[in-house]
Amino acid sequence: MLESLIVMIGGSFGAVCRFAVSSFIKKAFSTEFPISTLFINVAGCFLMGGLLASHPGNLDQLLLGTGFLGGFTTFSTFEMENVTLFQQKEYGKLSVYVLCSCVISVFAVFLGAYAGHAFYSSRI
Amino acid sequence: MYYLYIAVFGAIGAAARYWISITFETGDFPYDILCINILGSFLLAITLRYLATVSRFSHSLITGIGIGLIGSFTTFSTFSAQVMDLLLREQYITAAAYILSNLIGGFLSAALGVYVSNRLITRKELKENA
Repeated sequence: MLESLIVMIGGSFGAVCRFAVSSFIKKAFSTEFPISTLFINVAGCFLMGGLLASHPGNLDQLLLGTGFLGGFTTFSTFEMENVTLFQQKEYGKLSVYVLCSCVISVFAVFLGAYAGHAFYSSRI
Repeated sequence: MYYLYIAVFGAIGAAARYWISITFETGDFPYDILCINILGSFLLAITLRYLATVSRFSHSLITGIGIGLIGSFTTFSTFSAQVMDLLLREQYITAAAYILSNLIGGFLSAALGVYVSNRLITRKELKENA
């Protein structure tokens, strides 16, 4: 029960942050390319790598990882944007978007894990 | 109002993801997140294309369901972390299969959601005009 509550608190903040960041980016850069979701997913993946490398306790992982970062990043919006680009026949943009999202996100987790590991071991 | 809906629905979406992930014990292939991402992609398409056009829900409620509930239900960070885990364990084929099944499954289910929404809207319009 406590676990669920902690995940809910994290997820709530994560979703609100995603909406705030994506509204801000959409206002700041008016472009057809869905950079707001790309930025959110890459940033969330970097932080997830950092979190995992710092060996969080169970509740920290649930609050920050499963809750906050899980709620902050999103897959469904990414896929809806893919379908929209496909419907607009923007196949070039679609390929770049899918490739960028996957490659940079996985790279970001590794980078975050590396940074988190360096930070964590420097404090001991 | 937007923020309140997104906060409440975001909490429910994250909890639903957590409950599904602890209910299904997965082995090497993390199909729990795969199912969540595929299901969520379909539901978001229905929400944005069908509910947003025909239902009487307010725009902030639609945003709460789409961005909050379903956006928080699906996840990209756990997906990437699982890919990293598979790569670190040198399970390259499983990692590639996992990435492809998420991408293709999510795309097809979102496309199916758009198709179903369009069909439902057309049927509703035909009924109203009959």
